[in-house]
Amino acid sequence: MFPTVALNQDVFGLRFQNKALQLDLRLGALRLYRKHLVEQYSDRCAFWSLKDISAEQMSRTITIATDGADQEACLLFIFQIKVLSSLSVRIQYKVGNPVEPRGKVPSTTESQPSILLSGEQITSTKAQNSRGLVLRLHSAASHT
Amino acid sequence: MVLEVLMMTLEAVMSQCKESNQPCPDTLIVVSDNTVKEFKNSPCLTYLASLVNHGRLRFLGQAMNKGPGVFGSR
Repeated sequence: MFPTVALNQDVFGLRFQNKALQLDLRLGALRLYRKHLVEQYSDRCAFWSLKDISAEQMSRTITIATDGADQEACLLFIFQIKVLSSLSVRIQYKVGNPVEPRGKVPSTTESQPSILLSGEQITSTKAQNSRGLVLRLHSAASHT
Repeated sequence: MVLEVLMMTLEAVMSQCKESNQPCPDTLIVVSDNTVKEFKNSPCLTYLASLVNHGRLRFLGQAMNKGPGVFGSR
């Protein structure tokens, strides 16, 4: 039900599983961890409902979800639009000519930092592995 | 940079709607992390407010999630 448990365990440092700590500390860490999971799941439920609203043609709503903006490494990027069909649009941004690395992730030659934006074409795995700002666009045009 | 990407996204959506003779969406909802300062600074909010002021958008919402991201869930 919560696929990001492994990530969150890294954030909390598995304190509630550390038997060297006192029981009160472990219970407190476990309580905070469960609260964090509930808050994350509620956030995602809100995002899924917004996504469903934007999928309806009559709603005339665009939902733009962004992630990884604090890991952006470069300032310049290339703007590309790929039109897959008459009603489907795929927008993709790729970083070109990196000039000023910033943020936590340094730019390396092995994996070029990229900025991707598209509709349903981006899978969650690809979005997690990509470095840099990731935006996911949901509108009626991208769903039809 | 975040604002630039957001502007290009909206321009691309508007141009695509014009090409396909579809009505342009008048509601924009932006979901982002609450830790990113680029989404909370005054230029970004001013740009989003100007879209409403110039009649491009009728309603605008900005939501901040608390987790590390919304993409790892599916």
